[in-house]
Amino acid sequence: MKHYQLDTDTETQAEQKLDSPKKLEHPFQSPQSDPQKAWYFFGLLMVVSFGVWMISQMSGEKKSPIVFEKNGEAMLAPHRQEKLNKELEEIENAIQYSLRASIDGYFPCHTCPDSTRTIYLYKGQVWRYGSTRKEENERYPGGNYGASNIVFVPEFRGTIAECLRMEKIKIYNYPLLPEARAREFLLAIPPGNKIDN
Amino acid sequence: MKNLPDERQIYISGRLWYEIYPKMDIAPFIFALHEGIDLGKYGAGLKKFYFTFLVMPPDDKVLAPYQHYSTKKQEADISVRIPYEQVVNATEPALIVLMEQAYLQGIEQLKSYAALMRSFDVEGLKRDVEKIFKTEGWYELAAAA
Repeated sequence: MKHYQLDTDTETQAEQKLDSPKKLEHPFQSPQSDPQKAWYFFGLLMVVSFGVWMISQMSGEKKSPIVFEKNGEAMLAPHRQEKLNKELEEIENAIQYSLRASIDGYFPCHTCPDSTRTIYLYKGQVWRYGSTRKEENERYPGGNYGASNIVFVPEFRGTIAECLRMEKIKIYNYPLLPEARAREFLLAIPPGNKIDN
Repeated sequence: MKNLPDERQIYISGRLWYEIYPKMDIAPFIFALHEGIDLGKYGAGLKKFYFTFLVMPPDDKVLAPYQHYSTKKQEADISVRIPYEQVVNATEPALIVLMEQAYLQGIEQLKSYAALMRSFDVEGLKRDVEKIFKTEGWYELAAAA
């Protein structure tokens, strides 16, 4: 309102003049009885109520983790027992494997001293050691091992802990292998492994 | 052995139990099929074909055959099991036949993908691969290349 440059009384009158057309356009409008806002509020309430109802429905359908026998004794629900068995089986059934060159050629090398980051491997030489309890296509989907011309050689079966132990022993002992000692440079770990474990 | 490009159409690997691994040599398959097959000849539906020989002891619970086709990438990934006992007992020529049969079975399994069949001549691919396998001494020639 500063641009009118009026005194207080005149300013009030001018404001009334300026405001009056608006009031004429909306004679029944007031903050307390705004029907548009009321509808927004009602809509929001409906959305929230629907959301709460949906959550309660979903949680109602979710299976209970326990079931009760006829004698009243509680036990694990079949779906939970099944999941437990599957996960225990996965822990029990793991494989320690090596990824080996399936042909003679150059392969990526994560720890080689030269800048090319490649290494020449002869067929059958170790590129990487690993362990998995997942099916191999889950572990390396699309046959993507991180290098071409690789063969997956499962070497030891056991629990996941036993396999990880075996993997670690093989990774640390890699520099002692004849294939590793025959090179001009000595790698501490296989060329396809990035770290000790 | 010749050098192979990293990016190509045919990829072959194995999940071979360590007692089997030295007996099974998949390298001749890699070289012979890389040189003898051009997937573009059979249509646009398959740009890369990954195949895996799977030979594990019967009580293995981790590794299993699988198959997957990506319409988006136009890539197929198929793993076929060869029974462990058969591999153990097979002579070298018999083992090559087992491997040939497994590879052809893998191609046959491509037929289960309707989207692929619409744009790719799987039968034509199978026919040409069979032709390679029927060539006298193909395995030895590829191994010596």
